Amino acid sequence: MIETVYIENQIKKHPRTKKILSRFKKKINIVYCDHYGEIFNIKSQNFRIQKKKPALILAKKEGKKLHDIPKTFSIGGKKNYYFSHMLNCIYDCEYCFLQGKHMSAHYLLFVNYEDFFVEIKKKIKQNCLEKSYFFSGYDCDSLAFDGITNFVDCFLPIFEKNKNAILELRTKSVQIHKILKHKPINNCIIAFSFTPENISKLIEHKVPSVKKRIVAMKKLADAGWKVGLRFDPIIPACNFAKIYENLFKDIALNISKESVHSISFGMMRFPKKMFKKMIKEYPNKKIISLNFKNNNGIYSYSKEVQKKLENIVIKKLKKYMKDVPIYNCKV
Amino acid sequence: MHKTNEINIVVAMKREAMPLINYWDLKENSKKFYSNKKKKINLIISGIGKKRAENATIYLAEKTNNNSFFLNIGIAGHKNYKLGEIILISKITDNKTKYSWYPSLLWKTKIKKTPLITVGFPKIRYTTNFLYDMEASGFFKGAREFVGPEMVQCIKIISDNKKSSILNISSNKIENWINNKITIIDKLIKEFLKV
Ligand code: SF4
Repeated sequence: MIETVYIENQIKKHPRTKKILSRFKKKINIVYCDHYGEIFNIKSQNFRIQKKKPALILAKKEGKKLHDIPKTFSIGGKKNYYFSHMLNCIYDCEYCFLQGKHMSAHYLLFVNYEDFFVEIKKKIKQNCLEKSYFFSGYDCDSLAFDGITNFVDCFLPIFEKNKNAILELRTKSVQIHKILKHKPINNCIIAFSFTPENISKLIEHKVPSVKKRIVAMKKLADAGWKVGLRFDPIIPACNFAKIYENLFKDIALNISKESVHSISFGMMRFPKKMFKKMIKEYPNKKIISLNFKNNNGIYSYSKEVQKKLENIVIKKLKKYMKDVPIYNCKV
Repeated sequence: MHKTNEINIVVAMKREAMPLINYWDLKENSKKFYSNKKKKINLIISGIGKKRAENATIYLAEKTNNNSFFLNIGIAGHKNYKLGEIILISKITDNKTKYSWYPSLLWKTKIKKTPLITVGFPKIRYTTNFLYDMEASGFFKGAREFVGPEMVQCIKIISDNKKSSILNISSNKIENWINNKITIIDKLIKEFLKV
């Protein structure tokens, strides 16, 4: 799959770099660079062309590693942060904001996990009077690339030892075998994102089927892990109420409410610049037909449509997942 | 998605260009500028040196379709590689400015990939494991003004190494080396144009 790996000179001897390289079975082409930006941030790259065969870039994350999350995106906590050990994703969802956010489709992986740990622990200490929530999976899929990144084995122990923190790993992947090797950690939520199967097939390219994701989620729940249900973005489609109800029903048939930490959902939304870039990069997108409205610089469905969808989603969720906290992620 | 129509090839010397001109049946349009409209191949002979390569690339870019693919073909030296070996360049560094370009490597090919340093004068000693040439950085500088990294590539044929210095290079040898690799180059170009 990956044939070229760019490596920053400064981490060429980093033990994790060596480990990552040893995970490639086939011969790879290694190119050294001074800074990842020489490849990742240069102008006039074509995201779509690169997406056909992305390279992996191994780099050191400098500067801030934790970023605040708006309160409206919380799952019950007041102190919310996201971190990105990786930028870009092996899947290709048409609505993915990454294609409007980054110049490049290459996978950028920061190998200095220990520096993330330091910041995470510092934040937990700072917020010692309340729980800190940490979210992974904003700029990549947390688990999809775990075979190479070893993210799970490295990050879970940090939270196992720090019970005053909650970790959410957000994913559409079914790469759960490494998690299953760990004893369940009650302050770690494995959150799965879903759209109804017929929508997923159309616009979530390379993503495992809804069925497979439910099976993976069930295995985790059966093993004692807390799971999260994420319906973000909600996508209006023919028979909206019916297809979403079927999805909620399928999940509820397999996963007991007790295993579900929380449910969150949100409408498709993009800042104006990102929206324009996405359309330019991918003019045949099916989501373009969704009749986006510019609501104060944010492209989303009209207020009326949003309200209607929200009502349906909440009503149906309550029917199948009674008493599980539901959060509406609004901008 | 953009549609690539033409390929613009920049070659430093006539003796490097001749096998290509004959193989693709390119016709001279104006001085040092050759093309085959049907095959959508343009070729320019830039002369030796990075500034000339840059100017020739810009000239070609301005004369052709604004979504053309750019390719530099030429000879280069390497410490150990065999004479006549074909290499796809994975990184180009200008020896003077130290600026580097990274052509996207999206192609189905088994050709060896190696970084290259563009120098101002012919290199007699090979201090690194990189290839050495005199044009690629100028070519990249020019081409990247017009297209992204997926649309610019560089192919080199080894002309000298530590056992056989640049003093042993002859016009005949250059033509032979390029002739020997021309079907591989042709195949690679077809792969490039799939982008
Ligand atoms: S799984 Fe998430 S990160 Fe990956 S392409 Fe889809 S939306 Fe983007």
